[in-house]
Amino acid sequence: MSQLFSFSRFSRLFRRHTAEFLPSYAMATAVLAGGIGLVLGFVVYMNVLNTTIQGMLFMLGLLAAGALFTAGIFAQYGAPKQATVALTLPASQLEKYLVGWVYSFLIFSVVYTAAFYLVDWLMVSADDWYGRPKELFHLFDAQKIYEIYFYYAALHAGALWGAIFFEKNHFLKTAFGALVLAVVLVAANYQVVKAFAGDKLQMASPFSGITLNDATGFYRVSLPEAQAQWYILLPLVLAALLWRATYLRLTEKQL
Amino acid sequence: MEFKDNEAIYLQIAGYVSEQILRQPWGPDEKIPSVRDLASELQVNPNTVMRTYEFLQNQGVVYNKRGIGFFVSPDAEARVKQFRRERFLQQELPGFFNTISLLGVGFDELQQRYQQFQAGQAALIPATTDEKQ
Amino acid sequence: MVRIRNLHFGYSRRVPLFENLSLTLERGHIYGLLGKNGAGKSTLLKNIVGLAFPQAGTCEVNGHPAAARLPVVLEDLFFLPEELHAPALTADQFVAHTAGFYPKFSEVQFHRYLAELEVPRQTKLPKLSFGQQKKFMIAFALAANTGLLVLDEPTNGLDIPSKVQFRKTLAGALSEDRCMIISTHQVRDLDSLIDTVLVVHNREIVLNADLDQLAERLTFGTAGPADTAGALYAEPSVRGRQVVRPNLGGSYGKVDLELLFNAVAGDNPAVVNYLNATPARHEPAV
Repeated sequence: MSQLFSFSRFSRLFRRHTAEFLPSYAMATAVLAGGIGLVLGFVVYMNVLNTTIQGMLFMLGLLAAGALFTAGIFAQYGAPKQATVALTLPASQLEKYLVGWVYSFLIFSVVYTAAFYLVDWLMVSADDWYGRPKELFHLFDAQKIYEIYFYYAALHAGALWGAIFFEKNHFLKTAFGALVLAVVLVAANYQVVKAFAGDKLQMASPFSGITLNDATGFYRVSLPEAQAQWYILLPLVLAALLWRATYLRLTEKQL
Repeated sequence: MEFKDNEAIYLQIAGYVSEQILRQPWGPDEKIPSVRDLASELQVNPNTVMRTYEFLQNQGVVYNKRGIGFFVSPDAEARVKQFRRERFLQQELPGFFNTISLLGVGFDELQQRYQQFQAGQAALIPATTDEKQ
Repeated sequence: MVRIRNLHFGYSRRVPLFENLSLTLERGHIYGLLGKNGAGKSTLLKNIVGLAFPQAGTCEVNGHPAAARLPVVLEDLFFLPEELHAPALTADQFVAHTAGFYPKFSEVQFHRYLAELEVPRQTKLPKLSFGQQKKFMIAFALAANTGLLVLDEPTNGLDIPSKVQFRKTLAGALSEDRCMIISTHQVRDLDSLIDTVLVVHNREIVLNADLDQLAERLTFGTAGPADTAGALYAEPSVRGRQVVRPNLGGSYGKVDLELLFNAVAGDNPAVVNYLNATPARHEPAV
C-alpha cells in the first residue's frame, strides 16, 4: 500500500465520512432544493421562466451554494477535538484532502445539477407559458452554460482553501476575502490597462476584452473568437494552483 | 491489592503468590496465572510481575515452560516455607529483637511463655482433629 | 520506538516551550509523564503523534518523522486526547468504520475490554456520559493493538470503580512490543502501573528514570523537625516534614511520586543533581 494514496484506504475513509455526515448533507440538499424552488417560484410568479433566466439562476446558485457548502467541508479540521481524530486517523493526507474535494466539487456539482433540474422541471411544468412551448434550459447549447463549472472550479478552490485556512466562520471570512480580492482585481486590472490604453478606456474586465470610447464611437478590442475560447481555461489554472495550496495547507496543519 | 511502603512491590507479590501456593489453591505442577493476567488482577505493571516470577523461579518455587507459562514446582511448598523462614529471620526478627531489647524482655521469660504456647497448641490438636472429621 | 533529539518548540517564536529536549521511549514500558500545568506535557505528546511540528530538532516514531503523518506510522499509534470527540455514530458504527484503519485491531479484544470497562454497547456515542465515552475510546485504543499508545490524562473523568477497571485493563494489555506513555496529574491513580517516570520542567526532561532504580537510590519518608540532615529535599506537611534522602542504607522504600515530583519540578536542583552524579547501583542480591 502506497503511503501517498491507496484506493482501499481512500474508499474506507470516504465511507466513514459519509456515515458521519450523510444525515446533515441530506438535510442540506433538501434545504437547497427548497431554496431553488422558492426562487424559481418567485420568478414564475413575476414573469415567465424562460431559458435565459433559468440558466442565469442555475449559474448563480451553483456558485453561491457551492461556496457555502465547500466552506464547511473541512470544518472538522478547525475544531480541536475533531481535528485530533481527523489528523491521527491512519490515512494519507492526500486521501483526507480528496474526500473533501470529491464531496464539495464532484458530488456537489452532480447533486446540485440534478436538484436544480428537478425543481426547474417542476416549475416549468407548473408555469403557464402563455401558449409558447415549455422549455428547459440546456447546459451545452450556444449559451455555454456548462462553462460555469469551470468558474465553479476556481471559486471552489478558493472556498476550499478558506475552509482549511480559517478555523472558524469559514464562510464569512472566505467570502469577505474573496470579495476584497475581486474588487482589487477589477480595480487593478482597470488601472493597468488604462496605463497603456489612455483616457479612451471605457471598460476593462479581467479575462475579457476592453471597450474604448472616443469621439467616433465605441470600439471593442478582444482576442479573436478562436483564441477567446481558451479564456475558460484560466479559471482552471487558478483552481489547480489553489487546490494544491489547500492540500499543502492541510499537511501543515498543527493543533 | 494494597501495597505496603517498606518492601519492594515485586517481593510483596512474591509473598502473595507464595501464600496461594501454601493454601493450596495452586497445587504442585499446576499452572499459575500468566504475567499479564496477574498484573491485570493486581493492577500493577507486568514488568513487576515478571520480576516476581523470575525471583520465584530463582528460588525454585516455580518453573517456566517456554511458550506455555509458569507452573508451581513439585516441592514448592517446602521451598516457600524455607524462603519465608529466611524472610522472617531477616526482616521480622530484627524488629522483634529491637522491641524486646527496648522493653527489657529477657530470654528466660520468652522461653517460659513459648513453652506455655506450645502446651496450648498441643491441647488444641485433638479438638481440631475432631472438627476435621 | 520514539526518538526525540534536540527538540525545540514553542507556540510563539519568542517563548519556547521546549529547548534541546531529548528523549527515547522504548517498547515494553509504561511511561508516566508528569509536569506542572503549562510545562508542556500535552504539547510533547502532540509532537510525538504529529499534531505539532518541531521548530528545530527531530521527533521520530519507528524511524519516521512524526510530522509527516505517514499512514504506516499512524496505523501503529493511537492518541487519546484529554478532551474527546464522540462522533454521531453508534458504538458498532464507529467500530465498523474506524477499526479497518488499524491493521492489528481485534474485535474480540474490543468486546472483552468493553465488558471489563462496563460500557453499554447500543447507545449513540454522544449520548454516553463523558466517562463512558472515555472508557469506550480506551477500549478501542487498546484493541487497536498499536505499538505506541499515547494517553493524555486518561483517568480524568473516570469514577473510582472505572479507575480500577482501567488499571486492570491497561495492566493486562502491556506486552513486550508495546510502548505506552501516559501523561497525568493524578499520580496516585497510576503509580503501580508506571515503570518509568518522566518529568518535564523548565523546557526539558528533567527526570527520566526507572522507578525501581529510584527506589534503590532515594528514600522518601517523614522526618521530625530536627532530623533533616542529609536531606536532598524537604517540604512541610501535616505529618511532619516530608523528606527525600539518598538511599545509603540499601533499605527499600516505595517511591512517593508526588513528593518526587515536587522535589524535581521546583527550584531546588539537589535531587536531580544527585541522581545525575551518582551512577546507578546494581540490584542488591536478595
